[in-house]
Amino acid sequence: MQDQQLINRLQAQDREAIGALYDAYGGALFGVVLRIVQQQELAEQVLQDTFVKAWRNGASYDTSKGRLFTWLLNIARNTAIDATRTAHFQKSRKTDSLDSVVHSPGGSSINPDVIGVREVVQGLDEKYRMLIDLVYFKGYTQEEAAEETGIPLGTIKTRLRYAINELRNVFGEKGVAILLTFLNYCS
Amino acid sequence: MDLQSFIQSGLLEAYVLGQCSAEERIQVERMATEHAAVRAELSSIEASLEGYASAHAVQPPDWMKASIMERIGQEPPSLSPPDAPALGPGKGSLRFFQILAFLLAAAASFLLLRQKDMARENEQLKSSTEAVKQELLACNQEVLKPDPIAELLCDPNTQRILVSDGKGISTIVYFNARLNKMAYDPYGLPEPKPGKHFQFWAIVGGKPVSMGMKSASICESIRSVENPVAFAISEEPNPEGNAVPTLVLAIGNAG
Repeated sequence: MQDQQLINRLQAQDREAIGALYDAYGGALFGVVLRIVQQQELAEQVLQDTFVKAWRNGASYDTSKGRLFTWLLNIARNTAIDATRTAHFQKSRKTDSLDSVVHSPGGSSINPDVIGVREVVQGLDEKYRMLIDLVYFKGYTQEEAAEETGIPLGTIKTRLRYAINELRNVFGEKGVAILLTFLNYCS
Repeated sequence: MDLQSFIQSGLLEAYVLGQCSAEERIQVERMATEHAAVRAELSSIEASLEGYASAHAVQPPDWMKASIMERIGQEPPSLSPPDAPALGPGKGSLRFFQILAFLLAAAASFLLLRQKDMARENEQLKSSTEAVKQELLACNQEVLKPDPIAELLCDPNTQRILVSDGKGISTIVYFNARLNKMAYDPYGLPEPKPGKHFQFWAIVGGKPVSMGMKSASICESIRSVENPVAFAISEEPNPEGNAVPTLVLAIGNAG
């Protein structure tokens, strides 16, 4: 089914459209959600919630504002971010790096290419690398990063954005991987 | 900020991920309208995100799809959100409004019918009330209407005249000269002989004037009469009486 057909059926509250959306994007979204929440069970819950929210809000999807996948991705990301805003998650996030915690229930790495993202970040200028490390890998909020580093909040935001653009443009898909899973990118 | 700096600022990535302020969102959309390079960059960011996510997809558990379909199967169709697509309301919201319109129409019809029912009931009640009112008025009028026999019997000027034969016939005639009315007590009369009937008379100006055949009650016996000098009872063979007394059985003088 083409995206436009899917959109029409979604907006028409056709439940089968959700099934088609799941078939088309369920795996891609689950991969992103897993990288964000880093827990299989929690990721499964987030993915289900994502499609239920898509069903509830299908009529609000605006084709002029972006791709269907982007719309779903943001629902999934926001749902995942909400799920990670627990004391337990924040604690584990601040003590472990992304590379060391992204594992499937069986213990094997679910996304081998994530290993190496940290190396990619090493290619950034120090003033950007330090912020990416704090905010992306260690889960600091931008306010916490500003407090930690003594750098003004506005500068933190500007540098993080620039760093993300740099990672995406210079380091290709590994930069995109960071973008996809960046929780505190602008908030 | 020049176009290139704007594109490299990282704001477009933030926009795509819904991570910028309302002001920034308006700025990006304005720049996208004005600059093809901005549109191309936005498209590139979206494509790269989808490309990466698709390339690194992770298959969810097999039960996941059925679980999602079951959950949305329990969900009612969503209402049109405040930020509905610029393309216009979707069919979902159209359906909602159709349902809403149907419900409103049904409610209006129900209320209209109910109103008609109530109006009809109201009319019936009005009609019924009017009937009761008329009946009550009639009763009042009946009660208030002067009862001739009561008036006659209660009037202190009414004379009590005994009409008797000194044997079985003994009855009281009540006469009032002011009212010109008379009545009598029929219970003072015995059963007439077989084939015979009692007829009452007033003697006026020396002539007998019929006051009718024996009545069943004093109320029915009342008659108008002027200047009677006496009252009499006759025995008649004709059940409807006679123009003149056939056989006078008893007589009582008035005054």
